[in-house]
Amino acid sequence: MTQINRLSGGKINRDKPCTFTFNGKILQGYQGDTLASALLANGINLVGRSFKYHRPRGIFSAGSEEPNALVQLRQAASNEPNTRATVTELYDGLYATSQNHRGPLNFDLMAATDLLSPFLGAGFYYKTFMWPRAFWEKLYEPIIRASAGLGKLSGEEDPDIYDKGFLHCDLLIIGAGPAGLAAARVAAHAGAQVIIADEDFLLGGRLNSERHEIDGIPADQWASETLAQLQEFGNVRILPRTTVLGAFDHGIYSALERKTDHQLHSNGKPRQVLWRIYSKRAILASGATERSIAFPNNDRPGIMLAGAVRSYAKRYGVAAGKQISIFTNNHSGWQIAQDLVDQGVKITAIVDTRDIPPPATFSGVAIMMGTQVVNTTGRKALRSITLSNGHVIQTDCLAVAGGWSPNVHLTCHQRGRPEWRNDIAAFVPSKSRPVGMSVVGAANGDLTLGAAIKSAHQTTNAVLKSIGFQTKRTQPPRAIDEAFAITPFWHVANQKHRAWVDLQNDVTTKDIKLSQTEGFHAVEHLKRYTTLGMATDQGKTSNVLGLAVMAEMLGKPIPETGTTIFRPPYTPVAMGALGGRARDKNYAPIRKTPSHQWASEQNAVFVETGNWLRAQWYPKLGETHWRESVDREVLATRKSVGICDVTTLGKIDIQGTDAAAFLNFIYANPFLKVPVGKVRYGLMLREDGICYDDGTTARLGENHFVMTTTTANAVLVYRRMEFARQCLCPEMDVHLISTTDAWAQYAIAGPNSRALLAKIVDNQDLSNEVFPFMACGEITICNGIPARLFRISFSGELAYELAVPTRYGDSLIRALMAEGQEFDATPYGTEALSVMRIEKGHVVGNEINGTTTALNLGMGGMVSQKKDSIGATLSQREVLINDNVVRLVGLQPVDKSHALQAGAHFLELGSKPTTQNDLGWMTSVAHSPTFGHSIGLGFVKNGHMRHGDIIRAWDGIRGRDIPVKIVSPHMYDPEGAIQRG
Amino acid sequence: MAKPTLQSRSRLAGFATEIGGISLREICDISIISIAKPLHDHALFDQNFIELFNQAPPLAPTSLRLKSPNCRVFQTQIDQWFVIGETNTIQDKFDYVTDQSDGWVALEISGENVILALERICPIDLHTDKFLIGHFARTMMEHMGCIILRTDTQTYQLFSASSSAESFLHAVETSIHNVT
Repeated sequence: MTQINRLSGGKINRDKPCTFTFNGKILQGYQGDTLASALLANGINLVGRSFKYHRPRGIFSAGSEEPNALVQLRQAASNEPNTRATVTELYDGLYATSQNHRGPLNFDLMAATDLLSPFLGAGFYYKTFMWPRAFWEKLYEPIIRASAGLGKLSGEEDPDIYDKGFLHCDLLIIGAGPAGLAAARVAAHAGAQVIIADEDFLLGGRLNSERHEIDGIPADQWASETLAQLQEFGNVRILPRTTVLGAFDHGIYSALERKTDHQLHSNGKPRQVLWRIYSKRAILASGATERSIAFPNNDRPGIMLAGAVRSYAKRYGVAAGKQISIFTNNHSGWQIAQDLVDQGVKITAIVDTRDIPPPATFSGVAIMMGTQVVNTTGRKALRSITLSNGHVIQTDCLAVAGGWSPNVHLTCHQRGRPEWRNDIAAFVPSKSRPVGMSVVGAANGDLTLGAAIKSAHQTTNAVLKSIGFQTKRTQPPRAIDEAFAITPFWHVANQKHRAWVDLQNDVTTKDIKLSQTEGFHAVEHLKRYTTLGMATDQGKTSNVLGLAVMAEMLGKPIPETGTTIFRPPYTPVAMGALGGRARDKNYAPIRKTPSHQWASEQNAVFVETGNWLRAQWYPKLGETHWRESVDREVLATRKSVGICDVTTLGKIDIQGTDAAAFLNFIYANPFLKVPVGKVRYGLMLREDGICYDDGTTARLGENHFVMTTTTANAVLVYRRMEFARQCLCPEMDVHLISTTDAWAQYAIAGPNSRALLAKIVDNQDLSNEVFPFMACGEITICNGIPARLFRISFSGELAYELAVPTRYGDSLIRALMAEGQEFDATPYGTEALSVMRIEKGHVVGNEINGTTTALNLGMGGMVSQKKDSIGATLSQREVLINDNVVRLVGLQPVDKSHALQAGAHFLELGSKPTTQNDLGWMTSVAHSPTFGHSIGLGFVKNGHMRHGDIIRAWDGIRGRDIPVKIVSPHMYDPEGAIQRG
Repeated sequence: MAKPTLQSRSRLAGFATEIGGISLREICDISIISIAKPLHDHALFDQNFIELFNQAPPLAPTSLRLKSPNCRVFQTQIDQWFVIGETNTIQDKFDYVTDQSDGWVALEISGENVILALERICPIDLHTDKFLIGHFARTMMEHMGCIILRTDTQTYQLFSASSSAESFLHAVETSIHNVT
């Protein structure tokens, strides 16, 4: 097919033809076309089906406001539904299909829905499908969803990559039309850091579509020359193909830059970049969007916005029809007529709703004043329009000029409410807009070219001065103030035919009438009842029209009827762009322990604990189940010696003359008198007396402590301590710094741990007399490597934790394993670690879960009331310390073959599983290879007095109910003789 | 019996690459200490600092570059500074010193378009007339805390937690790849 509607001229590159495919048909356009302009050039205007009624739909606009021309772009996994053809830059190899139809576009089987339209008014599904209730989810909703809607996702993983970024500027200019360019010129000369962003790939906005002059040269030439000048400034960053999506606090804006959407392949580079722009000031120069008029059957392919018809002619060199008519209520319709005639497009008629003398005459053009379009014909393409005076005009394109709505969207993103201006019949930004934002040009209601440029020039000067820039006294570029007078005319009243207000959602004036009749008058209710203004276009062409129609029906002025406001994003954003790089294994940072490489070589199975990857267990050849590995690791440790990487524990270096006093305040138990060279277990409480975290803290010097925290709470504890240091204890001389990553730390546990350590430490007596349980010291190992040694035990064994600078961590694990061969030293992972701590009765996050107190944990005596510490006072509330509170206990199944389940609730034997009968819950369970059966820890009301009692562990979710025996939580070596040995 | 010998190993094994005119390398064997000013003894700290460095403690965002001792000093929070470089002779001069060398991975990135790469991950305003040579900032890049230091016209040093060194490297490398 040849490009039958292609005119001469236009800002397309005829030396760069682009071959593309639409619905399987191979077509041709040019570089500089959009998909929409190329389709029109090829005589194709039927491009889709409507949302609800499956009515044939054509291209309606020439910008991001497009409600109709939504296509599926690209193929297979790269397929993107709901892409607006009007902003899709044409490239060689583009592949698009129409959407929302069954069977071919020309013969949509679902078009029969249109015949049922009397029954499918707004909210019909709420009223019709009320019973039987169960059918809604299973039958009605799936059918409705299948028959109505937009495009379809591929269901495959998005193969494109996306990125994010941060930009900073003194002045962000949103929109590169005449006002934006004028603003950028001023700011560039003033030396401000400027970012000018525009969603279009060709900057200049309306200047590329109209035939005005600026400073005595054609406006489009002025635009390109201004851009060329701006590119020479080092302080100006020009972002084409970039939509500013949202205005946020503190001058922050989000913007989406489409990097490779105009190419067939991204070549491994990000397709889109989501920018966060930090601006000192912003100038919104986003222009205005033309509105339609609601008249019967106004949705046929070929009925378009008048400004769009002009854009296609002037910018793209495409005639939207062979016989174009214009329907207008304002002077811009006449200007458009003149521009089209000048471009060589044939105009058949101009129909103006205003009963005024014709503003112009055109040879061979029928002019009808005070007249309305009352009906149209043509199923898949417009054939004729019928006028209120009875005339029928044969036409294949009706350009509708219903007035212009300033693009106020970003001014509303922080709840700013636009104000109504009668003289232009439109909402304009009020003063309640984001701090630092100024609005210029058509976006501010300055709809003429001269006024737009002048306001941009003046406002930019004022804005720059307000942030300290000196601006030169210059005159704004000269341009005319074209006529724009409007007499509002919103819709043609007609009881017989439907008149569309929102093309994308198939909302008609009848729907608005229904909404009004049923009491949904407020704009917010109107939107939700009828779906007016929803979906991809967010009502850019329909919101004001819908509101005006409602106002007429209510007999109220528009400002009294309501104001429509907007929220981000300005245009749709691919989910991939929001996710950016954060996907797959790069979803979040990964922290690796110093032994990670070595553990990988041992085929360790890793588990994520926060961002850390920790070895969970180390399977050996022949082991077929994780339990085999874990049991072996536990038994080997208890029998001889095991080694576990505990680097992930948080480490905080605390120094200062008041370090001990500070810890005494942070911890519930006393820390003032911890001797140098000793470690103490510490329990932190929240302000409300609930346990926060626990760990050990070693005193390395009079004014120097090293705290360990749980892995999960390392950052939170540090933050909490920093808050206490700065805000609660500013009089204390204490300094904190994290050293978590600075030290590689290994637990060496088991009867032979001392013997193994003796092989690597330098001159350190490890005997019980010199280095007893809870001792610590700064030592050297392996001939002078600095190290820290702590005699602490999480496993209940004779155990140590040895720390070396991280750079030696890999080497140390290899050395320990090599030296430990004679003891059958065994690496153990977090599972074995957990089994042994449950056997020993040590608590972790399962027990310190944000609801439990020291008393619950069996550590009530640790909370000193003789000193001031965080949470000490509120921990003594009656509700927390009465005799009936739960206490930590150990649990064993009566039938040793039973496996315990964490989460099970405890009940007395024979009692019903009710909340009233609930005695507590199981927090941790494990199979204990030491005892040969399942064991658990849990909380039981008054449990410390019930050792030996039998109760039930009832698990309603898994359907388990087994008798268990309450025992001491310290099941392994309850006297502690082994760890002190 | 002879004791085993421990080998030092950098987190990124001395990684170095060049992509599209931007070079990226790990700075190995870096020495970092933090020093803190005692609450009740500011004067003595300042005096020691001036004796050692011939200048008062620098305040953010400015860093202090010295040839002797060969190091750079910058403030990491109120009353706390990092000293990077030759730290052996410094440690004894201050009361509160913490060795931070192994807690960080250090990368150096340089090249003509280095800011284009960094702006993909760095929230700091790096305009060359605002973030001057010698300036530094603590910030976040790809959810990882880090310090960025401008050491030359087109050269920056980045410090981040050593445990997530590979993720950090990936973030920086990806940024370079995405803009070159």
